[in-house]
Formats: sequence, C-alpha cells, structure tokens
Amino acid sequence: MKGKSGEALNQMSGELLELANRYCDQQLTSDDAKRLNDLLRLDSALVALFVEFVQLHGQLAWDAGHGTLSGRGAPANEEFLASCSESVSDVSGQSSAGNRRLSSTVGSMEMARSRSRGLRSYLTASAVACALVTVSILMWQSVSEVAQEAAGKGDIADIRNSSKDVIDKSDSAPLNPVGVVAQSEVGLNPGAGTDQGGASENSVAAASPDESLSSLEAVSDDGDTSDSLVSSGAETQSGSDSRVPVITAEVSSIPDMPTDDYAIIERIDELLAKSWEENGVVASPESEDAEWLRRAYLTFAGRIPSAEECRRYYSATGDRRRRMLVEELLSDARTAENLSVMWVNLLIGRSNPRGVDQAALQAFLMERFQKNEPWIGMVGELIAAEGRSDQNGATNFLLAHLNDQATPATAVTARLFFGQQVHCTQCHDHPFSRDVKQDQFWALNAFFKQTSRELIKVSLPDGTQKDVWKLADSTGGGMTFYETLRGQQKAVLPEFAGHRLTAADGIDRRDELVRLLTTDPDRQVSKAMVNRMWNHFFGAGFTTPVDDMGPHATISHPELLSFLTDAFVQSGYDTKRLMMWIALSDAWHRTSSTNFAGGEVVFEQDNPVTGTEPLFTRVYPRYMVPEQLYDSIRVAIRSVSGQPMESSLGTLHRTEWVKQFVESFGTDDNDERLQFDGNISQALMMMNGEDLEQAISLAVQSLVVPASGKRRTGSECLEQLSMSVLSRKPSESEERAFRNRQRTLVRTLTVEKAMELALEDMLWAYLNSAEFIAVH
Amino acid sequence: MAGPGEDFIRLFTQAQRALYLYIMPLVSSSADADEILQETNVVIWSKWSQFTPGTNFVAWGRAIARLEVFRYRRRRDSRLQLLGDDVVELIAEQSAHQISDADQRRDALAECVNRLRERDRELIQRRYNSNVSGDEVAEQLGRPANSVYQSLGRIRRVLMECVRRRLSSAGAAT
Repeated sequence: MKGKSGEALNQMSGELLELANRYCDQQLTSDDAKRLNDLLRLDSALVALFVEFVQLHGQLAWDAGHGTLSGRGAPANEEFLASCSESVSDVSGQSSAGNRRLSSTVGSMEMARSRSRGLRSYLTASAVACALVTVSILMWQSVSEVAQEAAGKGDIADIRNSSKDVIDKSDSAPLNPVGVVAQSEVGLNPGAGTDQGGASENSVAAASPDESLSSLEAVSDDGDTSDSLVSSGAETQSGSDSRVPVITAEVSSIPDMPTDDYAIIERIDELLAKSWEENGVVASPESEDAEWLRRAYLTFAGRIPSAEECRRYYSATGDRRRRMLVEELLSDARTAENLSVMWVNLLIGRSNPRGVDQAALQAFLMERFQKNEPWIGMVGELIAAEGRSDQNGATNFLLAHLNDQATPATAVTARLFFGQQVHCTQCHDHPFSRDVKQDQFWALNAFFKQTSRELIKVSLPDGTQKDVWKLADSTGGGMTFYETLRGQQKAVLPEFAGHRLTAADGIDRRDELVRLLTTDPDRQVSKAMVNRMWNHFFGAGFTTPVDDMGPHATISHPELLSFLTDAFVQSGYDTKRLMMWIALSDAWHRTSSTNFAGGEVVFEQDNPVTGTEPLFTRVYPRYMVPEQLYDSIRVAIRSVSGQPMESSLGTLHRTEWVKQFVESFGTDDNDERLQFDGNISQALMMMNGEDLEQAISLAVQSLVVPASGKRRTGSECLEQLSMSVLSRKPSESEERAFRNRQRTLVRTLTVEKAMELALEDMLWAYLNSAEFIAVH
Repeated sequence: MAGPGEDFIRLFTQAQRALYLYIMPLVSSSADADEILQETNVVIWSKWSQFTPGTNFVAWGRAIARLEVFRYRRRRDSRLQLLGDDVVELIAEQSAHQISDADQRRDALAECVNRLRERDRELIQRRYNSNVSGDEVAEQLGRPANSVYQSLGRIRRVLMECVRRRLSSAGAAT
C-alpha cells in the first residue's frame, strides 16, 4: 500500500487532519469514522500525522488542566472563580474543609512544587464546588427568593396589621395585648369608666354571671348580619327556641361530582389548562425522570430517594412507572411519618415552649395517617381531645395553646383547620376585611372556655413518677367577655358557621364544635386542607399565605379550589386520595427548572414569589425544610457507603438538630420562626462538622472499596455519588471537575488517596449545591 | 513489606503526562483519557514491586495503559468503537514512538500558544482551560458551533506547524 504519489498523500493528509480535528471534538459521524479508519489503514505516515495532531490536542488538554496553558492572556481560572465568588463564599466551609484534609494527608509525599500547591488545591477545590453550584443556582435561582419570602412572612403579616386604623399597642406590648382580660376580672371591673363616652349600643354594662337568652340577643342586635366566622349563606340559629343547636345541613351529596379518581384528575387538568389559555401562557415541559423522582420522594416520604430506590425506579419500564411510584409511596409508612412530622410542626411547632408531649402527638398522627383516617375525623379528635398527654397524643395540640385564655388555641385552630387568620381580630375588627369582626374571634374562642389543663403526677411501672398534663373540661356554660379597642366590654356565645350555642351548662362545647365542622356549608376544613396540600406539592397554594383564605383573600383558581374542596368532602376527607389526585395531575409532572427553550419566559410570567398569582405552569422550587434536609443527608451518605436504609431514621437526634433553626417568640400566638434560609454550609456545620466530615470520609472509603467485591473505578464511584445525592447520573461538567481534581491530586498522592479525596470533594460539592437543597 | 520508594513515586509522577499523551489518540476525549489513566495508575500502583528499577518506567506504564484501553473499549459505548481494533493497534504503536520528545514539544507548544493571535489564544484557552466542549464555547461566545469547530481546527493546525518549526530549528541548533 506504500508508494503513493506525494500529491495524493498530501491530499489525504488534508482530509485526515480534518477528520482528526472532528475526532478531537467528538464530532465524527459514522461515515467520517469509516473514512478515518480507511485512511489510517492506508499509510503509516498518516497514522503518524494523526498521532501528532491528537497528541497536540492531548497536550493542550493536559497542560490546561494543570494551569500551564494560561499564556499571557487573562488567567482563566481566576476569572472563572471571580465570576462566581458568591458561590465560593457560599461553600467556603467545603473549601476550607477540603484544604485542611489535604494538608494533613499530603505531608509524607514528595512534593517538589509544594509551595504553590496549597493555593492551587484550594482554588481547584473551590472551582469544583463553584462549577456545580453556579450551574445549579442559575437553574434554581428563584429558590432564594422563595426563602426570603418565607422568612419575611412574619413581616408581611405585621405590615398587614399596621394599617392606619390599627393602634400599634399590639405591637408594642406583644406579651400583654390589649383586650385580653382574665375572665374573672370582667365581672368585677366592667370598665365603666372608659365606657361612658363611647358608643354603648353593644357594650355589656355589667355582665351578670348567669347569661340568658336576652343577653344573647343583645350581642346579636348590632345590625351586622354576618356573624358567623366566615360563612354568610348559613342561616343563623336565632336561639330563641332551641337551647341545643340543631344540625340540619347536609354535605354528603354533591351534584355533578365525579367519584372516579381519573375523572377527578382529568378535571384538575382541564381547569388548569383553561386558566393557562385564559392567561395566554404556555406550561413548562414535562420534567425529567430524575427531577420528578426526587420531587416525589421529598413530597411524600420527606427525603430524597436512596441510590437503590433510584435504580429500581429507572429499571422499571413503561410510562406507568410514575403512577406506580405514587401508589407505592402512598402506602409507605414513611409518607405517614412525613405527614405526621409536618403536622406536629404546624400544630405545636418545633420548639415546643410549653413542654407538651411532642412524641405522643406524632405517634397519634402517624397512626391516623397510616390508617388514612378521614381528615375531618382527625381534626375532630384534635379539637375534642381529653385525657392525659402521654396516653392520648391528640391532647397535646390544645395543651400547647391553652395559655392566655386559649387565644392561641383559637387562632391556631382557625388558621390550620379553617384557613382563617383571625389572630389580629382578637383585639380589633379585621383592618380591611369588613366581614371579619372581633366578636367572631371570641365566638370561636368561647368553644374553648370550658377547657383547662393541669399538671398531674403519675407513677410509672418502674416506680418512678413523672409529670404529665391532663386536659379536661368543666360543664359550665356562660358567655365569653372581651374588650374592644375603645375599652367597651362585650360578651359572646360560642358560634361557628352560623350556629350559635346557648349559654346553658352541660353542653360539651368542643364536641359541639366538632359536630358543626361536618355541617359547615363552606366546607372550611376541606378547603383549608386542599389548599395546604396543594401548596405542599406545588410550592404555592391558591392563596398566599396558604392559611389565610378569608373573605379578603385573592384565590388564584377559585373554580379548581372549589372543585377539589367538594371532591375531598365527597371522598370522605380521604387524605391519600387527595394526594394522589394532585400527584397524578399533569401540572405536577412539569419541570421546575427554566432550563429549556422559552424557560425564561415561563419563569417570568409565572413566578409567585414576585407577588403575582401562581398559574401552576410549573412546580415552584423551594428549600427543603430542616427535617427533609436532615433525613436527605443521611440517606445520601448511607447510599454512598452502600448501607441499607434504616426503617426509621433517628428522629430524636433530628428533633434536637432542627431546634437549632427555630427561634421561638414566646408570644401569645405561640409563634416561632424558622431561621433556615437554605444556607447549606451553615446547615452542614450545624450537623456537627467533624462528625459529618468523618462520616463522609468513611462513606467514600467504603464506596471505593466495598466490603464485598472489587474496587470500583472512578466513574462508577462518581455515578454512585451523584445518584445518592441528586438521584441522577453525573453531568459532563461534573465528570470533568472530578477528573481535573483527581489529576491534580495524583501528582502528590497515591492513586487511591487521590481518588478518595477527589470523591470526597465531589460529595461535598454535591451536598453544597442548590440542586440538592431545593425541592424542585 | 514497605511501599513504593521515593524513586518509584518520582518516576510515577513524571510519567503521568507521557501516559496521558499516549492514551489520548486512542480515545480522543480527555474524559475517557483521564479515566483510563486513573485505571492504569491503579494497576501501576498495585504492581509497583514488579517494576525493575533502571528500566523504562514510561514504557512499562504504557504497556499497562494499552491493556486498559482495550479493556475500557470493551465495556464502553459505541462512541469508542468508531475506530477499529486493528486501527487502534496501529495508533498505539505509533503513539508510543512519538512521545519520546514530549518535553521539547511541551515547551514549544507553550511558546506557540503565546504567539497566537489574541483572539485565537482566547478560543483555545476557553476550550481547554475549563475543558468544555466546542458547543459550550460557541454558546459562551454567541457564535455558531460550526464556526467554532472550524476555528479550533485551524488553530490546532497552526499550532502543529509552529511546534514542528520550532522543533526542527531547535534540532538544527543542537
């Protein structure tokens, strides 16, 4: 095959170089490859030329990877770092940790150029994290805004309260708000002095202890018709002839309501599609499996999937696998656990300032969620609970809120179960919702009037004693008194959804409230739960905030909310079915990222954190809550090291860990604020930096050399890392970052050590990424 | 038994670049070359006692690398099967020859990169410094990918010519 003319060889050289160039850039088509093979077989001169060319490519790649290609131009590495300095500072914990580890292990190795190495490895380690983190931040940029919004939620409420006719007394004296007077004092000190100049049409001049129907009428004759907490349509019980309310409303039959799950899901899709059309928007494309899989686990089970669970999902074929996963997760005990943790936090908070039995409450909730008890039944149990805090977990909800004349119990009940923010109406009428009056707050509060708690000593089987709370009711009746901002005394009877109780003794008022819930024509319990669950899945509810659905609230999708409210009632308040409908709705499968053609447009037109109404054309990313973060880090590290998942992750330690993020205000509303802004390095530090560092180091060691089986290659290890942390395969840029890191390290370390350290750095970088900490 | 001595570690460290350059023409992508190099290193490290001091370390490593390349090709996707096994053998043989003058080549290349036009140097640095694909470079620069690939090809040829010239003039001088 030798002896071709020089001209022919020349021609072929040109062609060969063209092909070699494509080869270097991985741009060869299969036809190109065929030709390249032919040419290389043809002449050894061409092989030499080919090698020369591709080796030059190799030199450029190698030297660039080692920083010797910077030439006189701008040193790209520094430029790169400068361009993401913010992210570098975000992950400074990671960088310095990486640096520290390095310097301690490298000591014995021969290091000719050790002086510059320290800085370089620092830069490289930062760059690894930086490369990952910046990419992710761009994709999930809205997350930080969401967190800010969440952190500022209290402020928003404050702003709302501080409208002009609200006197800021309530702000200046939060521990002793005006208008709350101990009941016993009312009779003795009716506030006659302040009463004289004011309008007196409603004031109860001297409230006598035995209230009768006449004073009941005195309360209601102020001309305002809608006295019920929210409902306007219900007929108010006149109270003139019946001392016990008669429940007549029927809620069971809802015309035109599909009972079939698929029909319900279809209707959700229709209503959302209609709203997209009306708003002239296009929804995001369907999410990748990795994104959706992670979202599903975090939403249902409250943690990321393990690497094993990811692989199981990916190995299932067919388009039914998402549906199958939803069904599997619904019946999984971890979903019940996750729901119970969520609701413990909502019901009594994380900081538990009143020292109630958090664990017993959670056990109660977990058991009910696991059995999928009707939601309205659970609400009823929580409201009507009696007995000991350790024996009846449900009692702990009210036990945590009975302080200050049960005003927190009133506010929290209204907010969580009815989606009504009434705490500000405790002291005054709602500032801009004329339908929400101060007396409605106290009418709800009156249901808790009989309820009291006491600390009792009980003997344990082992002979020791402990203190437990006991929740009990008196049978006494009577009215509840409160004071207006003008200092007038008023009195109300328990009233909910248009039904008013009498003042008579012998009525168990909490039981009555529970009965009234089921006949509420507004279906507030259902509506509030639908909204909260929708918010849990999408990162935004139909109202903002999710638990403020009063008459003044703007509802983004009234028809859909009302449809789901009815469907949930019709289902018998079946929590799991509600979750299934939302999870299988078309919208919940759309991507949260803006990383697609037109993504920026979707992002801009549908971005509720800017204060616009959500359109649900995508799922809104948000930060994990601390419990999700804690469990997810554990799952990730156990996956890396190949350990099986524990059936129950250590909840005790988690509870303690989470408390670090909680600031309890100790106010009357028993408010607390979560001081968690998604700063993962802070979170990782709080995990006890050294423990975590050791856990990661050990996990990586057992990843590289598993207890049974052969040593793994670098790419196998990296894949396990990214699968464990981000539920997906590593991206090309991540593989590059890993290799560059490894390449730098191997010059001064043994191969094994270099690979381990590079993997550790990658694991830190993954854990530090916005992609990890976001539920997206 | 003691681990590898200082001499071994030094030889090992020095051989990294040469091995990388040996592997590169056989696989074309730096990610694959890196992976194979690391696997080669693992083997080298585990067989350190089999190395005879005084013999050619790079040649020893190359033999290991060659086996790793073929092992890698067998379990990887079709991207690597673009070249036939026989062609890879041809390249491997040739590649082994050409890395002997790698040090001079490195210096020459560094100088040639410095002599590039500003624009061309920037393109090369973008492509290699953070080791991104031509598509990504094109995106960064807002240029069509096709034209970036063409430019890269042209610059590589310029650099190859430049290195050749410098090596031949250096050869003539000594």
